[in-house]
Amino acid sequence: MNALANIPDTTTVLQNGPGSALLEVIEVYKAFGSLKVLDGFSMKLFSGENVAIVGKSGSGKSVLLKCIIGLLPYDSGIIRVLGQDVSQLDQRQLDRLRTEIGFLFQGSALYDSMTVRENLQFPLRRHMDKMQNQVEEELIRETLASVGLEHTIDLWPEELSGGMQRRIALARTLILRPQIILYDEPTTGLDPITSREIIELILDIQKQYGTASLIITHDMQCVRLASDRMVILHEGKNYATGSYGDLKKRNDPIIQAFLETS
Amino acid sequence: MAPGSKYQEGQGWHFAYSKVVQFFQEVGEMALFSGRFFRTFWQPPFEWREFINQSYNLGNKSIFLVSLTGFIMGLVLDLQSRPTMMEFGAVSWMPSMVGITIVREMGPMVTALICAGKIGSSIGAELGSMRVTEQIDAMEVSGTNPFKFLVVTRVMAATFMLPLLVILGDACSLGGSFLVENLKGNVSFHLYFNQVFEGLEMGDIVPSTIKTFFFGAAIGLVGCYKGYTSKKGTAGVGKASNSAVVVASVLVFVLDFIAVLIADLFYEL
Repeated sequence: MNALANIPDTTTVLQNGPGSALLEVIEVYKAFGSLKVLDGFSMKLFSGENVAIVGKSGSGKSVLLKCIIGLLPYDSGIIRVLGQDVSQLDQRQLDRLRTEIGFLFQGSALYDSMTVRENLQFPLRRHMDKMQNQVEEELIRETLASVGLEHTIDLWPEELSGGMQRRIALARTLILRPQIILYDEPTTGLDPITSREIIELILDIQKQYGTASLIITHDMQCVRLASDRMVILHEGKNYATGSYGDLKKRNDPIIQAFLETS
Repeated sequence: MAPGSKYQEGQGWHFAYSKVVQFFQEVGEMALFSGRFFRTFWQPPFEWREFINQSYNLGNKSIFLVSLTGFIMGLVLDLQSRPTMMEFGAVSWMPSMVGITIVREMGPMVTALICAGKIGSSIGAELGSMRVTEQIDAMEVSGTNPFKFLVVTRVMAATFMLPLLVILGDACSLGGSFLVENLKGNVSFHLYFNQVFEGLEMGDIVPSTIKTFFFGAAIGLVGCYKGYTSKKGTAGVGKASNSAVVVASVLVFVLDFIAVLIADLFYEL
């Protein structure tokens, strides 16, 4: 039995037509004091695609993700997720929207006072409190199996390696079956083999659940293998957009500076 | 100013001024944090399961420490006071004197200070580490109000657990005092506690119990404020934990002073 089929449909508002954007960032500005971080940044994320955002350290990539998920307010512009303007939502609406967006933190951010099972139960119990225990258990096991870590169900986060923690965090993100997943440096701090495994997992998730993903990364291997398109965030703006192959052909020194690291 | 002194002419004043401003900023931020607690507290749903979990954690983990220190406090208080009371031929008043001292002041204060150290630091460190490892952000992006889940439940747990811990500490203190009286004065259990409760009035018990709720709330709020707003990585966690203890302890003294003033006003009426 597919436990995911038991999740009530919490799909938020928009019936996404073919080719419509799940996420739109339009002319967004964000500054900290006199430091401009986002300076009219714009981009779109379409259904089922993986988009990587690359940029120098401190260029505002993580700030952009936090603005999208509503953790940071932005100064002006529009961020529309599943057809809803994030800045116009009240707390309850924002919380509901957040169940449609998964967020994988750079440091995994697993709740260290909870076991792996409890980490996955946490979002379920808060948003689907009428779910039967057996269905909940099946869903947890199925989601853990999808990241290849079903055997860790009763372990504590501190007993897991960095790569395993990242996978469990991804499982926790997946358990509410989000339409969009935001990855904040998913391969940072991992060895090349584990990085490769995480990249494969990102692709598996895209294939299995049909989620759209926004991947913030410095890792050009991750960009090359996991993304359909990439966006170069430079001086707060969308400097260039295109597939890795297309951008590789351009003779722009700034684009080449990013790509030659691969 | 002497040559080679740490501050040049005028810098000392500037330093003192910036510290005063910083102090009032901190007080203001803490007041806003407390205001947010009272606003959030009324918003449904209430996190009962986490409240019970936290009450168990905070209470259970402090039982041994509070019992031990309470028992020793009773022993020491009795041993220290006995010779003086004997000089005045008032040794038979020992149970009443110890009872009043413990119930009115020493029990609540010592237990609150111990809990400021134990509970305040543990809440500060826990929330601080959750903040720097982005666990609080993770909770927020999963559509949960972390303030309600983490702060409201912990403050409420501390508020309701402290009076219970004070009662336990008082009982252990009286037990310690009884042990001394029994060994040195051959006073029976029945006689000792009869005299303790004869010496106590509602005016001793009620104000001292009410103030312990405020002590608990203050310890919980300060611990949560310091942890929830901690910054600057792992160093910030240590700082949050440390300053939670210091601020909560000072606040306990201030609240005790205010409680005594108010109780005194009622006595005069």
